[in-house]
Amino acid sequence: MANIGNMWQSLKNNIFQNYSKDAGKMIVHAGALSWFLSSLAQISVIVFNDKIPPEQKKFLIPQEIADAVVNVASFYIVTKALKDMGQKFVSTGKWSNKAIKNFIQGKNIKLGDYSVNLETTFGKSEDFHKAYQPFKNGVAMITTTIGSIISSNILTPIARNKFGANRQKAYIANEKGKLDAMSPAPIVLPAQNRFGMDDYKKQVSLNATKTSTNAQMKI
Amino acid sequence: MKINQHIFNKFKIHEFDDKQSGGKVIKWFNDNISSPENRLILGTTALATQPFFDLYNKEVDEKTRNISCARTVAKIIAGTLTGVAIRAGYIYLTKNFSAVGRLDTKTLINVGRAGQIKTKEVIITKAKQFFTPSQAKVNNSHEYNQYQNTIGTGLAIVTMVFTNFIIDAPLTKFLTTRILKKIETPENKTSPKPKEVVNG
Repeated sequence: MANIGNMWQSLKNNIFQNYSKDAGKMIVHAGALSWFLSSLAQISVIVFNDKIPPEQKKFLIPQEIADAVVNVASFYIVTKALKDMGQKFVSTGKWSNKAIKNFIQGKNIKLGDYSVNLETTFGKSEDFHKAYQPFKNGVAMITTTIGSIISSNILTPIARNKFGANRQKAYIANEKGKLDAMSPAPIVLPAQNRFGMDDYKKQVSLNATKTSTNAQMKI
Repeated sequence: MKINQHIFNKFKIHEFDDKQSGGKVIKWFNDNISSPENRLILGTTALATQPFFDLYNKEVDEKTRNISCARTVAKIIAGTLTGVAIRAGYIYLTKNFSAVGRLDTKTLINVGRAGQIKTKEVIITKAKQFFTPSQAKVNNSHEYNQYQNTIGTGLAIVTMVFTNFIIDAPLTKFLTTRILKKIETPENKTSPKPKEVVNG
């Protein structure tokens, strides 16, 4: 029992140390985790769904994994890149405000230089952090929000639709191949009941839609 | 020279004035935006962009486009509603059970949103310190507020794995059928069963 208590306390302290000074980091990690868990849930729906035949599962599971990789990677890479860029602007003093400038004035620091890091230079000064932290967090929240909009709402849907369309074409080709193999001789139906190529394509497209295109949304 | 450094050097040094638009926006984001608000912004902008990608996706036929668009809108609505509510709920809960201070004494805890400090007086009990890390020394600092947001968001994400199935999937299915009816014209009317989706 004591061990569980210690583990809980250590987990809380760990989160406190790692996230309390960096709001953007929390948004990036939480976003990537929620995409990951959402994808995992989507995959488990297919794995544990008895109504989906094993043959289809073989096709669907790798596709869902590919979707998950696109979702998580695009969110993490784009959002983190923008967030890091914003943080670099703030930590070097390229972007600052009056409170930060006042603190730095008179000190020998080349503001806006790539190698400057105000956080390490003034690491121990509480007054500096009081001026610096709100500005840093404000910039972090803007950059992570822009990053998550670009990745989740623009890049991911475009990539997913592209993959979905390719998947649908592959599915149609596969189904058509099966049908051709099964019925070498054409079956001629009375004109009014004929199931034409157009009807066939519509049917296959509906089937494919049930299993593909825009798979999931971030939780 | 690295690419990052090259891009970095393209920007000029800028001092933001707290009384002008740039500085005000940064301050507003610091004071008002955390994970529930971020999720709300994400949902709102998703509604403004994603359905159009589906509607104008020329690589699939019209029926697929309609179904795809209806599902997307339904998923965004369901996901945003649950995502924002659960995140906000857990953050509020965390703030109420992470008081810093000695047991049986009175203290002010922060129940405000994001970077805002809005206090409420409580008597500290063991339960009120369930989420309190031993390293925390001050109740209402901006940093402690970020910690509380992180814990609340983490709990919300774990919970949403389950609400995905319990709330989002049926709500998405219900909304998809409704939206599909609205966007379908009599010529392209079809009634496929929407896929059981898992989203958020």
